[in-house]
Amino acid sequence: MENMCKEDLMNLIQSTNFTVIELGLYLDTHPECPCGLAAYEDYSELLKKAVKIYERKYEPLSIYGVENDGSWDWVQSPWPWQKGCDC
Amino acid sequence: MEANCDVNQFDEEVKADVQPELAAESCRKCDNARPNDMRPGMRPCVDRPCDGGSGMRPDMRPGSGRPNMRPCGDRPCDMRPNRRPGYGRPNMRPDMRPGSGRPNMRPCVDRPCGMRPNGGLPDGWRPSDGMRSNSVMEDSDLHSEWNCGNRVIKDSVGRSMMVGCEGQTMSGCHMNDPMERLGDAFPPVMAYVPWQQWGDLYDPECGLKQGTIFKDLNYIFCGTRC
Repeated sequence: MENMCKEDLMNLIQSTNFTVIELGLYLDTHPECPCGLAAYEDYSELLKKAVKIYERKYEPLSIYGVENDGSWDWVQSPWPWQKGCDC
Repeated sequence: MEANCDVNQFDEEVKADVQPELAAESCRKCDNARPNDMRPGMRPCVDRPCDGGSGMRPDMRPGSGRPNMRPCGDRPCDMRPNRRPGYGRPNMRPDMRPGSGRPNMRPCVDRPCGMRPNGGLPDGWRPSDGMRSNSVMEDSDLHSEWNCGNRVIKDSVGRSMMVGCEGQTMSGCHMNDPMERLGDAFPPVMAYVPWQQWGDLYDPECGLKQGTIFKDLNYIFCGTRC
């Protein structure tokens, strides 16, 4: 995951995020399902890790992901409509 | 209250339960009531002035009667004043069920009202056991196979279609759609929602493309794919 390019990492984050949401919806109606709980745990952990790597290597994905190291980089990185992919 | 085809009995029970005073004092002249229709406590309006079928007592203020109640006034009254809307029989065909006026209604001739002979499912189909998300399809002459994330659905005559990440092009989907074959076999306005069970998942990328990560829920939507 560390070696993935920006676009691949973003794709991984988007698809994993969708999976986590789907599993959450399933667990809304099956809160005791051990398989659902285990899958949710795995994919949410993967999502957190991917987001952390992406934000460290590229740019914050949300306002909560800004790492303030002397400058406010929230507005420095390209916005989604600016096609900021570098791979 | 038990389900019953007898609208007469139902109306009388509603009247007596909800507003016994109105039931007792409603205008029987407009109703063309037969004497033996009268319940204990009812009296005909023959000897008192007819209020035009409004069902209102003299001491009632306008608007204090039942909602949606309309007086029949001078026109021929085909509606008892305290009959609920939707239960008027005068415009119904004899073979219609109460409460509906749909033209393609089926009569409930030799069976309890509203019930189809096999409980609503077409011949040869079993009702869901309530535990399998796609049990209706798998229990019948439809079969499904799994193939590396792609799902192949076959019907009884061997026609097949693929559902999955690599099966996006599905020519003839409309003809092969198993739901299309069901046609109007199911009764209208009845939903069957079997409880979802945990099953195989698509990988995240495939799930995002399919719109669900659950293989069991990946059905054909011709509105977007054909």
